[in-house]
Amino acid sequence: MELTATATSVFLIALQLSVFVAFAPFVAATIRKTKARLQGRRGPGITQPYRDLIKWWGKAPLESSAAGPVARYAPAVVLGSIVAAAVLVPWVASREPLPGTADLIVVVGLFAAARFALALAALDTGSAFGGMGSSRDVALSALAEPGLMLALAGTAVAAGSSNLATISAFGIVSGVGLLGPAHLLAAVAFGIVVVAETGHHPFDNPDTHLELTMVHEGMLLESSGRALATLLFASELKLVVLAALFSAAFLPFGAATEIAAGPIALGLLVGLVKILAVAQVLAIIDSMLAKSRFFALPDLLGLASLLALTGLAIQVLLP
Amino acid sequence: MSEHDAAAEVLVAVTLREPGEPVSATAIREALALHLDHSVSPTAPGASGDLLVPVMREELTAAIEALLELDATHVMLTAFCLAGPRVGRSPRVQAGLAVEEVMAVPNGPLVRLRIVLPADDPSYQSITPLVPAAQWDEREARDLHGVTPVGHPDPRPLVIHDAGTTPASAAAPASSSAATPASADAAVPSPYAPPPAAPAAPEPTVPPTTAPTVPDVAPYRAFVAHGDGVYQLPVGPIHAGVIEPGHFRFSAVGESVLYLDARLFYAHRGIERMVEGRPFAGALPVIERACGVCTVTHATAYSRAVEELTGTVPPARAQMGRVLLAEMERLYNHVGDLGNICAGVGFNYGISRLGFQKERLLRLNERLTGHRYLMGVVAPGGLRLELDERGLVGLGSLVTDIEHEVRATVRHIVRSEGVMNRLHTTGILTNAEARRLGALGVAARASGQACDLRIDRPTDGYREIQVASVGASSGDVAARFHVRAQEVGVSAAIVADLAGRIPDGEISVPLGREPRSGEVALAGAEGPRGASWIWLMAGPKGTVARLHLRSASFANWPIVAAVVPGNIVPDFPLINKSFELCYACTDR
Amino acid sequence: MVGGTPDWIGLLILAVGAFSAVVGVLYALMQHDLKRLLAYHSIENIGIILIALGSAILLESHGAHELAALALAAAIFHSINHALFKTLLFLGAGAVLHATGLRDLNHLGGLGRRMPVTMLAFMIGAAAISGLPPLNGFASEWLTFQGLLATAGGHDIAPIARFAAAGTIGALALTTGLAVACFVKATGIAFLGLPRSAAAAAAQEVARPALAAMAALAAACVATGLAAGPAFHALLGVARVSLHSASGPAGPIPSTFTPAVTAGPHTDFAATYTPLAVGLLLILAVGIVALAARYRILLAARRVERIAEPRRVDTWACGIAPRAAFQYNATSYSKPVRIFFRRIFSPEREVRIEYHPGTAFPSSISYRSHVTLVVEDRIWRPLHALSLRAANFARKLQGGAIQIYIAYCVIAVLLLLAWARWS
Repeated sequence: MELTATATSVFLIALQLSVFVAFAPFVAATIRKTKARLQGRRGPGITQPYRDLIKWWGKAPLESSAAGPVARYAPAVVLGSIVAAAVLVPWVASREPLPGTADLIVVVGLFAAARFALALAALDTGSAFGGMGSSRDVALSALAEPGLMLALAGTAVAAGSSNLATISAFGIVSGVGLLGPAHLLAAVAFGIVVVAETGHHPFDNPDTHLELTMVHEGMLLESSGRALATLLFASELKLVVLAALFSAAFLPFGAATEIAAGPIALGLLVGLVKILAVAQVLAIIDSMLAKSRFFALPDLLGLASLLALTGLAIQVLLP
Repeated sequence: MSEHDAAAEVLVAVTLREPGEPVSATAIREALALHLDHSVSPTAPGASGDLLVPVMREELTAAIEALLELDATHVMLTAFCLAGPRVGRSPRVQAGLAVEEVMAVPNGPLVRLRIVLPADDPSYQSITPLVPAAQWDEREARDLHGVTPVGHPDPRPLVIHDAGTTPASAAAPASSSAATPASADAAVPSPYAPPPAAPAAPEPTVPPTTAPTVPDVAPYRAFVAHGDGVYQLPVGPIHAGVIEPGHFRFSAVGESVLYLDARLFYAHRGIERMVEGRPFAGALPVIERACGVCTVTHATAYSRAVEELTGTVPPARAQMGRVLLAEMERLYNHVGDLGNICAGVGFNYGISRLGFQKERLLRLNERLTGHRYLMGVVAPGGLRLELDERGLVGLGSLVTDIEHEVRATVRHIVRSEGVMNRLHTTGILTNAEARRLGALGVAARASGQACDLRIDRPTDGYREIQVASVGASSGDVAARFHVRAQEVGVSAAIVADLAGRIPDGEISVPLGREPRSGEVALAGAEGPRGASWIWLMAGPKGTVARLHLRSASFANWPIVAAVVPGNIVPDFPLINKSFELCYACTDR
Repeated sequence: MVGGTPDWIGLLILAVGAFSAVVGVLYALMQHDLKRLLAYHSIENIGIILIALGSAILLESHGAHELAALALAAAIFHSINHALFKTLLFLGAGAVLHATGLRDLNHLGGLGRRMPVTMLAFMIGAAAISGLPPLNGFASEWLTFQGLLATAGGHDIAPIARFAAAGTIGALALTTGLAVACFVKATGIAFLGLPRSAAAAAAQEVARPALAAMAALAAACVATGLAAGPAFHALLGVARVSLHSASGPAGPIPSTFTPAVTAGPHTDFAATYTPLAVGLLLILAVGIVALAARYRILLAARRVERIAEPRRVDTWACGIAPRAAFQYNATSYSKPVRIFFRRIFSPEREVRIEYHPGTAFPSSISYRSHVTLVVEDRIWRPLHALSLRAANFARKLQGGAIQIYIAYCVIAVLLLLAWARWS
């Protein structure tokens, strides 16, 4: 099967985007299910996130009388940025879905754009809880940023490029040799950042009804109807994209190196398994750990940065 | 025993307290005489052995100072009416408005300092500067009965939410008469109603007294801090979770709380007024339902007050049955509250495990009494229902099993670094503050205050058994967690001990003599949240003339608010859950 | 002029740059005076420029000429971008000052409703300075990151320099993260929510010429961001010339450029960023979501509600009427960061409580806080004084007339070009 470059790109983008979009609520459902099981509950059905999204999407939002266009259009910017990131990250195959774009700094930048929009929208309604969630979220994300960039920089330095496709391909080629201490440290650091960015214990409690303790949920408190559906879907999708990013940078094995039916099918299967595995780890962490004291979180994020920096140092200083 | 248990042991000391030197009524009389410059003649009405000391209203503070020198603690303050056709009724119109401040002398009797206020000037010197624990009592008495504490540091309304309007259904009982304008009470202004616009001619049947109008209170304004960067954070009265209503106004800078203004009484139903005029038996179901999780506590306190008024001694089986029920109530509350603390830190393991054990306890309750929350069992004269034999069989071993499960879960929680890090040093209530503000129950014991009615003033079956006293000194959330966990063990041991050896015999005796109208009895019961007290004045023919219920939650709510400043905003739910107070029995 | 410089100079510049960037943004975060906040961000951005310059020196002195040119071009590019968005932001702050007479964020709020154009322009400037794709700030920060990655990954470069570059990646990432926090705060507290003072409530949009100036600068930020490829390659030429005049013969300059910013296709380190593609993708994705939500075209076709339009309701305040005082303010917003970095700020707070006489019941509580930079007190005071003076001078330069600003921009570009030519 020989495809032109354009056709390959179109095919990869369409495949990746449709799987991500269809799959993201399912991943969220498996997290809830695992948590419920670990707590001895039956938990909501696997289709519940889909039903929720469809229900909210069908409803007109209530808009705050204090808010203006920022709150109205921010959900679209948030989801749009995440969708854009979802298109960039190589997942099924170790090649760029959209040529010239699969850069890790761009992906990080798109996440920042989503955060910027959501944090602003939370301030637009003039709600104390929105401001509180916004303030906490930007502060925690700022501290997560060094760990994120340093962990990814480790793989970039090893591969000689910040292009995720190059990194992914390099990882597949160098194989088991990749699992050195530097790589492992960076992977752990990135894992901590994923937990922080997706709002799981010990950073945030995704299930809480206590407004005073909310981070991410606090920013969504004023959202309803379609806006809420958009934002919730964005956070479900963000988890999937982060998992895909993790797999591209740290666990690229299984991704197709050539565009053919067999490798693509295998890459798809392995890719789905990797994302589900990341989700299950998050669910287990949620069940095992309590939410940490807010001002103890910088230590954890600092640790992530330190681990990633150590990984880089090993790579740089011990050739 | 693991090392963690040992660590917990350091924190929580379980001791059997030695009774101190008893303080006699004579000693109290002498102390009072010394401060008042004249002799006083306390009388001891009723069987409860409490001292009624009538003092002049100008002498109240001096008398309190005398009692404070004896280490007396505040029990309650209430207002009522002494004279006229509506003796005892919540006053504000008749002559003979009276205020009683009840204080407990350690190892001595309860002392009721009674002052009578003139109808044209129902005011007295506020005792809150001397007895900060009375801060809400005085505000409540002012709002509901029109007695003004002059010099109270917080003159804002407490129960009445918007001066001149009716909170919830509070006025309903009063207006059962007001609704029929022909009745004699029609012209009696509801304490909640706005003053009559026109000086209407008084009904001839009402004595021409100068009725004080609506309390002279400013509209409620949240107390907030000021300064650059301070914002106000409103939480409640409608919460995201299914919990009771309360409005909390934080003054905060970012995450740090500077001040917390708690405003409750959204659930004020006018229960005290509702029972006025009811026969003793008829008031019980209302009092029992003041809140859903202190049922046995309130029913027991009320029943004991009635028994004292009527000179009734419940049979041995009922006395022991009450102990069993009270401990069952404590067990399910404490286990649930331990789970709630886990919910405060989002620790799913603890939430689900302890929630499961609480459910087991509730089902035991149902098997024992037919009611998961133990309603309708305790009654004046003993018990209303026979304890279910099938429920009693194996109760001890089941409760012991539950206790083991709880202890295992608690051990796991204590081992979890993340959880304990949240609990330690959060929401500290110092020993001095606990004493100053009159903390009760677990909150007091976790701050090193030995206060437990089961030990200090045992009644019913508690006189027959030894209750181990549990305490901690650090006063933080962890201390309250540990104290509760230890008390689960103590209560389970009591239940296991009693379940097999509840004496046979009658469960109830008929009430004894009919009390004189105007006679007063006081009774308390140690509930899961601390001591709840009932002040009960008899009316004619075995009815309730006036009743005041001061629950442990009422005592502890101002303390929650006082503890929070200095903590960070996201820790408030945790601190709140570590006290785990009811709104309903505070608001009544 | 950069080439052949000893390593320690490069390292020093890198360190100073990283330090200046982090400290600058942290200190900016602590400000609630809008103009001071912006002034401190100049320290941050100078730090970023120095970082790029430092990596250029390190790369050049180890023979990675092409990458050194890239890093130097990044430094120049960021200076130009900084000039664009910082001018835009200062104009926005000036408009706010003009409309309300206020610079204190804690008294602003809700201006977006009355000054929508200013808000939009300010928001674009804020997004640009926060380094969000596809705007110009992101492009030059991306290049700076590439310079650092190349330094950290350069096999011929001394390990200490590589490690320093790696550490600087962390510092730069932290800086961009904190910049997002700071500009969400500046934009959100000033323009969104409810007005916190009467002056803010009565604000009026500024005059058309001022709006036009801001719109032009905002458009320039977007355009420079999307056309980062050509702009960068032009600067790359300048950088090459300036480097090679100092360090010997130039390598071949390719005659054609892709529109992408390419991090040196001739070396062992390569990466591409296609701003136009990312920008189009973003616009497409956001547009589809927005249109879908607006016209409910996905999934919800069958579930059309009777009320199709969004309804307006008051913000939820737990059952009571919302008030401006219930909103987070600037001080509160940056409080987590202040506490995270308390060792740097050594924040002091003074809570004065007055009591009712003879009791422990408060009658009034007032709060004041103060932030100092420990590093500044101990190490940095002279330099800080200098930068403050520079910031004050920068403020004096804010004449308010758009012609002056444009003149500044032009002069800056000319000076850079001239400097490149001479050296």
